[in-house]
Formats: sequence, C-alpha cells, structure tokens
Amino acid sequence: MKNTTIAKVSTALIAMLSQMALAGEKVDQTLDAAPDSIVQIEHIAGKAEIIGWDKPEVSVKGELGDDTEEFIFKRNGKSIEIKVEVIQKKSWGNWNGNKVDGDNLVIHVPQGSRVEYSTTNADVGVKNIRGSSDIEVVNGDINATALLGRITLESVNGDIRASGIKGEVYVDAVNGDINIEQISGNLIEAESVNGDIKASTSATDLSVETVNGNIDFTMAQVSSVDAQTVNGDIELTMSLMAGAGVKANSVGGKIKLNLPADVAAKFDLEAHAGGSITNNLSDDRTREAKYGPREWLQFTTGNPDATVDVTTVHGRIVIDTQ
Amino acid sequence: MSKQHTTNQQIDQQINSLARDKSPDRDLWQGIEFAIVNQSAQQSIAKEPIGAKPKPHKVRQYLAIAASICILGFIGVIAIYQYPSMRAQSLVATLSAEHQKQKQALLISFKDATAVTNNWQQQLDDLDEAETAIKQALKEAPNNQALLKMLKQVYEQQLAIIEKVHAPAWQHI
Repeated sequence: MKNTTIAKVSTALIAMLSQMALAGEKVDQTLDAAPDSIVQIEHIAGKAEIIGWDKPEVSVKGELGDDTEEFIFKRNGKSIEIKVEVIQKKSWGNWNGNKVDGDNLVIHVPQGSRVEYSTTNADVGVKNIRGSSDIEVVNGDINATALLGRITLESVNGDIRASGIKGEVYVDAVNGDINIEQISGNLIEAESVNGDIKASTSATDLSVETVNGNIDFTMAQVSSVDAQTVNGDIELTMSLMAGAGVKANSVGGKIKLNLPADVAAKFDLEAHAGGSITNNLSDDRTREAKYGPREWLQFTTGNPDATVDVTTVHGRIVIDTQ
Repeated sequence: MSKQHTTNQQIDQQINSLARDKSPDRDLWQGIEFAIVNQSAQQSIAKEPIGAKPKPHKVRQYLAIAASICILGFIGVIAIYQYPSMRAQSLVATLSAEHQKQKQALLISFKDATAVTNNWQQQLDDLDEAETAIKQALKEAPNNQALLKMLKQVYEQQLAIIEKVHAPAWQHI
C-alpha cells in the first residue's frame, strides 16, 4: 500500500517536473524536409510566424506557453507535424479577443510546402508559401503575404489581411474584417457574417457574401460575379468581359456598381418592398408597379454581350460610371 | 335439300374459319354516338313544342348549369393565372418548413457544444428578419426567381452560422 502511494506521488512529481520543464521553455529544433512537404501545425494560443524559405528543412524557434504539456515535432515521410499540447485544453480564453498565455513560434518551411495551420487563440503570419496554405483561427488575426497556389484563410473572430496573393483564394470570417490584395490568380471566394470584405483583385471570377458586413471590391475585367448581402452595402468597381454575368442582391443593403461609361450589357434591376433604383449610366428610367411598392428597370447599352442582374428587397440600387 | 344442306355446311365452315377478333374497317363509335345524340335531340323536340316557354324548374336547371359553367370557368381562370402563384407560395411554405426542421435538428445536435462566438443568435435573428422581408416581397412577386434564391441563401446562411460557430473541428484543437 505504501509502495503504491509512493509510486503515485513519484509519477505525479515527474509529470509536474516535465511540465515545468516545458512551460516557458525555449525551442530551437530543425528537421530535414522534402521541398514539397506537408507541414501540419497545431497549437492553442499565442503567436506564430510561418515563413517559406529555400532550404529543405523545417525549423521551429521560439518559446512555449506556460500551459504547455507536450511539444511534438516529428516527420513521417513528407509529412511534418508540429503540435503543442497544453494542460487544460478547455482554457481557450473567452471569445472577446482576450488571449491566454501562449507560444511564440517562428516556423520556417520549404517554400513549396503545403501548410496546414490551426489554432484557437493565436495571431498568425504566413508568407512566401508556394505550395498551398490552409490557415484556420478561432480568435486571432491572420496576416498572409506572398502566397501562391490554393489559399484558404478562415477566422471566426479575427481579421484577415492578405496581400501579394497569387492563386485561388477562399476567405471566410464570422466577425472579423477581410482585406485582400490579389495580384494574380483567378477564383476568389469570400464570406463573412458581420465583418466587412474589401478587395483589390485581378480575379475574373468572384463569389462574395455577407450578412451584415459591407462588400467593397475593385476588380479589373470580370467574367462572373456573384455578390450578395443581407444588410451590408455592396460596391463593385469593374469592367465586363464579353459574355460576362454579374449578379448582386441584397435585402436591405445598398448596391452600387461602378462601370465604364461605354459598357455593353443588358441590365435587369429590381427593387421590391420600397427599394429604389438610380441609373446614372443611361437615360432609361425606372418603372413602378401600379399596385405595390415594386419598381424595376431593364435596359441595354451598346451592343450587349454581358448581363447585369441586380435585386434588392428594400435597399438602394445605384448604377454609376467610373 | 341435300344441296342446300351442303351449302349451309360450307357457309358454316367459312364462318368458323373467319378470325373471331377481326376489327371493323373504320371506327363505328362515332356513328353510334351520332345516332344516340340525334335520337335524344329529336325526342326533346318532340316533347317541347317550338316557342314554348321553359318550365320554372327547367329555368332553374339552366341557371344552375350556367352558374356551374361560370364557376368552373372562374376557377379555371384563377387556376390559369394563379396556379403558378399558388405553386410558388407552396414552394415557399415547403422551403420554410424544411428549413425549420433542419435548423432545429442542427441546434439540437450542437446543444452540448460550446459556441465560439457570443453573437451568433443575434445573427440568426438578423437573418430571421431578412426572411420575413423576403417573404413579404414574394407575396407581391410570387414567382420572382431572384427573391426565391435570396430566401434559399438566407436559410443556407443560418445553417452555415450554426455550423461554423459550433464546428467540431474547433472543439478538437
């Protein structure tokens, strides 16, 4: 009986000492890696910088948080796992942005890597990744720079900033704002509930939606645009490719399209329960329903080979020139 | 006699040799129908002298028939013009009922999960208000495809919010 008790106490002490040894411990480790590695990074809180470099190595430097229970850094074929386990997983902090003490990590990976990162309470910066990037954060900001390939950036309560993007982008936030600068690459998909989405993009295909957030996109020539909001405002500045299709709708938000004065398109604009339509592109004026609050406007400009369909329930539609 | 008997036997044999299910060369029903209708008309004419005033109960019958025709016509007109509307309203009702079921099922499935935002219910309320506004607009324009699409999107957004803020992926970290 005595022996059992002593054994239990010893085990507890060893566990405690190992945790104490990890808590706040400095990390400086390196593993050889393939140029197209799959690097999976997971930790609970703190801060992480993920940087692509030209070495065939993955390096982790920094400091572990006070609640660290185990630090895992291992390779299995092309896959490399970096994981920080904490003592109490439930202590994620609250969802108002207050961070619990966490790790401060700088992680270098081969530029051609596929990076998969997830955290709950950390800010993350990621740059110079040419493979693909999949970044998921609950409470924290994402700052992405110079990414190529397929790019997925998701934050529930944080902001997302992406610049120098060359690739297909999928961005999703719930309460955070999204700001994208896409240099090249085609498809862009962005979703938010309360956050605003602002983008300057070369993408020809765009799909964007919010519930209460505003949408402000400046594009070059577009082929397909689908923008929708419930209560936010939409502002799209763009030129239309031949055969382009633009659709925008809102429940209560304002929709403003800024188009070249010589745009050639068929316009179909509808405002239902009390909404309004302003057309600054041509002399065509709206028609109103004899009974009910509905009004609409259909017109064409030039030799139309593109379509623009805009619908609002009780918001405003404004068609303007750039 | 014996010669006639022989002839009758031959005729019987020939009749028996005919196909029993042989169809007539033309549709006889048209002629039968014409004969029946023509006979009824002749009987009516015979019973009621030309110029005689119809009896009151006959007037009531005619009025009833006329009224029935009017009602059927009216319903027909309504059906022609309103059927798509009725179909659209039915579609909206079905869509709403289905969404409510999905939403409740989803909420129940996440009832023990911690939400990662504290304003998600307000966001659902915002979308409920949007649903009401779109449905109101659909009453004025029941077949408007854009409005129907917006209603569907609002429902999808509600489900997406519930899933995002309770996503099991977050719970595993």
